[in-house]
Amino acid sequence: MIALTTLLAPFTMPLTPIATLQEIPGTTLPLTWFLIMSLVLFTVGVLTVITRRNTVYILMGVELMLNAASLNFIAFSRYRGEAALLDGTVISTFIIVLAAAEAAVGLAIILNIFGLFGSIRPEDPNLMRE
Amino acid sequence: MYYDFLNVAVLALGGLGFVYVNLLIFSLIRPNKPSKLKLSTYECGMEAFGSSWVRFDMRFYSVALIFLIFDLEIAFLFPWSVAFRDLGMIARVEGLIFILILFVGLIYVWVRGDLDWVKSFSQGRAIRLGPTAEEEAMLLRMQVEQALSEASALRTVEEGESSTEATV
Amino acid sequence: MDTLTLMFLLIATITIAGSLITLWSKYVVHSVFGLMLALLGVAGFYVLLGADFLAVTQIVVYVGGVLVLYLFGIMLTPPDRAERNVKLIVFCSLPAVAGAMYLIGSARAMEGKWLPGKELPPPPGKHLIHQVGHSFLDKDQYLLAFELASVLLLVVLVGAVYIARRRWEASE
Repeated sequence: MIALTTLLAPFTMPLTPIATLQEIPGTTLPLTWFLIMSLVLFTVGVLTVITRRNTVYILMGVELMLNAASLNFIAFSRYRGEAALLDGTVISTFIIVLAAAEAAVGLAIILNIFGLFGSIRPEDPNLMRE
Repeated sequence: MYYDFLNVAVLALGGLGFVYVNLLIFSLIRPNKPSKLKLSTYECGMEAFGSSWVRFDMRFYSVALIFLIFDLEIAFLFPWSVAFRDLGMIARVEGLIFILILFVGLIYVWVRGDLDWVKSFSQGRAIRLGPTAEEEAMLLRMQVEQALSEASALRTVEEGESSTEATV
Repeated sequence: MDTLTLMFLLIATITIAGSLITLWSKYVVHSVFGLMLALLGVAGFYVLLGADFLAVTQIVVYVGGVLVLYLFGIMLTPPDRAERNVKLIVFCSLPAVAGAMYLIGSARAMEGKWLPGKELPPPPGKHLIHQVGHSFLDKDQYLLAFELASVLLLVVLVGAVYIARRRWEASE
């Protein structure tokens, strides 16, 4: 069981930077801010997937979630130094490529389903034959 | 590195500002006398009716898809193109393999006719070079038959009209 | 409030606004443009984090390619205004769950297992794209992934074009 003070630690403790971005002197951006942004993006993506009943919206929500994951990769790798930033960049590049491939194939399938069933709501195609 | 992107940001903000500041200035100094006729969609001509959604051609999607794939290829070839000079022959071969694998896809799409905007006659054929001689002959025959049937129909109508005139 | 913090807050505003437009808008086209704002904001975060190559790739691939694909996708399907399935419980509970997971995760991280140490990371040197290119072509790093990506793109091209062509051949 984690104590309540430990749970609330990110909000009670002052925003000391875990690491600082050095290029402009005197600037600090804590890693936590990027993680919170990633969390917000992921949550909005999940909400889009859950609450929308148009399959195109569902794909858009998946795009948001993939972007959140990619942002997480980059944020963590940036705060581990330059070699790690290279790895994070390559992994995020592959995430972008996979997201684009997913969008292409997914939209083609959606258009086919619309042609067969006349609807793009996810609950409508319920036959396993043409 | 930030300063490179600061240039981009300043340029983008300058572009946006140019548009909206001009719109703001002109909305302040221009006369504003709206009337019902002026506010209609087209001041002259027909009122619009029906839904604005029309079925687009699926080939728009196919072309966008092919563009996206080669866009991704470019995203991979940018780092290759700045690095292959340092790495000698093997890097060039690796890049060539990458390009050749995607070139297979381009050949497939090209041969199957997904890049043709106007659909040619021989649907589903591997290589489309326009209609074959048999198909042209068939088309010609169909056109002649249709013209003949139209002519005969016209003739019967004229005969009927003339016969009714005669009875009158 | 220094420049970098100000930039972060500006970009965060753009990103959150864009993603909320994607979530809330009644019109699909507005949603796609909201998604564009969100993706541009994520590209801005990449710039702030020093991953310049990734920011440019994000703009070129997403804004230039994927969003065009989405626009054509929604032009090919009918508008559906009555499709939102809003349940207030879901809307309230999911951010609560996400916040709780964030709290637990950061509490675990405070124990020192996940987060990196407090040493300052070195600033990015020359542009990252050189190193990315070298790692793509190095057989000890990402060479196999690089070549397999082309195979993946080939399969996506052939498969998706096949599916799409089936549709317009059936419609004529």
